[in-house]
Amino acid sequence: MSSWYFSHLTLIQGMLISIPLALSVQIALRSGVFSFASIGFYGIGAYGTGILTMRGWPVLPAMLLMIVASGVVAYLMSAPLIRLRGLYLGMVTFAFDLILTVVATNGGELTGGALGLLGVPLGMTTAGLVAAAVVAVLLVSQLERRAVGRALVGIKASEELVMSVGVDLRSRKRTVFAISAALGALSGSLYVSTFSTVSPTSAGFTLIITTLTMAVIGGTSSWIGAVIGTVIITWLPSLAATIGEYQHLVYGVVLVLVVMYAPEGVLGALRWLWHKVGPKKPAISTTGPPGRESVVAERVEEGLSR
Amino acid sequence: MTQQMINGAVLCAVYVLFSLGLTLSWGALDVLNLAHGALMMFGAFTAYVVTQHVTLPLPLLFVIGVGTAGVCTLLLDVIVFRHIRAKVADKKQAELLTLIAGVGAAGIPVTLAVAYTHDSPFGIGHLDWSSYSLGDGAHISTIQMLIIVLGAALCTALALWVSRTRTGRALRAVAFDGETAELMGVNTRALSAVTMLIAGSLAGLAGMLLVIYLGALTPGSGEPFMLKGFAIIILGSVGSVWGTAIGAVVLAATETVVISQTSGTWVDAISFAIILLVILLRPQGVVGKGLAERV
Repeated sequence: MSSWYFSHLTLIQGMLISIPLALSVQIALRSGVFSFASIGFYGIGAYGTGILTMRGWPVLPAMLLMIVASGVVAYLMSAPLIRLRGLYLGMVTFAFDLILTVVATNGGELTGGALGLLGVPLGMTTAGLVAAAVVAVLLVSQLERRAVGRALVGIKASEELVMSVGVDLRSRKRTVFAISAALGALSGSLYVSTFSTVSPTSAGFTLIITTLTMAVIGGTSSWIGAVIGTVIITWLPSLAATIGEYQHLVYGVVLVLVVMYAPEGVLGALRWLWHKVGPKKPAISTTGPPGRESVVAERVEEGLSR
Repeated sequence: MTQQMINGAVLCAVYVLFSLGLTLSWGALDVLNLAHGALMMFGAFTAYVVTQHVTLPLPLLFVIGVGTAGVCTLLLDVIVFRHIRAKVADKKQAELLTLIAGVGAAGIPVTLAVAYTHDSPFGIGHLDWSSYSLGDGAHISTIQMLIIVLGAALCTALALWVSRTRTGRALRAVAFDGETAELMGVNTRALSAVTMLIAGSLAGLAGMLLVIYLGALTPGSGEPFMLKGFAIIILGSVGSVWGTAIGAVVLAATETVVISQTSGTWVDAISFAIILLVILLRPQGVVGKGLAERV
């Protein structure tokens, strides 16, 4: 067991680091916010924490500062952004990610240019990564359970409906945007203090593909989907050694296929199975995970008809 | 000064060709194809792979490069995007899935190119073009003239197609209201296929002209172009051919001035600055209509 653990340590660490990032994308998509911005904040978190710790900051304060700063900046940024129509938001946040690559490449000594930061002090234990992943999961899962999260599902189903029952749509979306950014920054900070390096390409286009694949393959309707997706995408390349340099091609194909044939992801398939073979329940239940969205949608509708 | 105007005009023509495809599919079909930049690179890359095996005349290489990008975009639409549009009734959800599928699809050509070239620049030769002196030290080469002429000609042709022809009118009808257009007898399937083929071919042409003009592209060359395409579209408003031309002129002129005044490393940041400025100062073009209106 322990020899297996040590020979797969990098993968385990990578998986734990990816969980907050996958969650950051999942929470945005779940709320119908077409935002890729958290990938950019991953870069900001990684570079920020790297630069601070290389200048003698202890890891934890540096990480906290970057996470809080990213959340606050994202909250401020979101004011003009969330007014944008769907595709425009996707485009602008995509552009945001790409421009950060340019900034990182041209940052001179501060960002280390095209090579990036090398020799960032290692300050993260695997236990710390586990703790961070657990905190991220708890945060997102609690958010989903509470009224905020349920209103967010409503945003995706029908914005008009949610607004009509008195939910402040704008502030909910801005909160999601900020949390998503903070999760992205957390993941980036974890990465740089575990692997001691970050380069402009680490937060570029391939990371967008990988993270989207993680979130979408698992299913964006719940945090469980993001975790399932992260586990699958982390272990897939090691199971099929032949993938090698074609890793991102496989991700691309998988992403397209999932979007086409199973937009609810693995989680959707599991739910479907659960409905088929699981215990029969009344169509509208007030508890339990299966079909929570439809329950919420119906509740919103009820509220509307009353 | 004259030299810089020529450089700016060449840049502008390439931007126009690239962005027209992006804005056409978005404006008419609500498809924001995030694989557009990757397919631009892939057209030129395919031509490069062919030159590694056989020697072909340049026009044939153009056919290969333009055709590859055009056909790949068409296939992407027929196999993936159309499937999503047909299956997902909710328009917003369909747009989101299309975005994600585009990102996934972009990974395929980029990975192939990275694997083949080991992530290094590739070119297809044909670098010796005769150059003409214009006085005051400025030169213009045949390839530069070709790029400028093609950019202007195709932009005009596309504008005329959209505004004057029967199919162009049908396209605008689809953009305005797809379902009603279909009820009026517009063959939306054929029209969307033609649109995507044109969009992809324009990207392929931009890629071919670039790889010859610059001498080389890299597998990642498509990404900064997406950034520029976004800026141009947001300046010129989605779906407008002349708007795209104006956006391209503004971006190319600004970039040319910045390159001549600074070391040029920040030039890609201009696109992002333009995007931010438009969103902050003139959001009317990009912000959704009031929700009450849409219900």
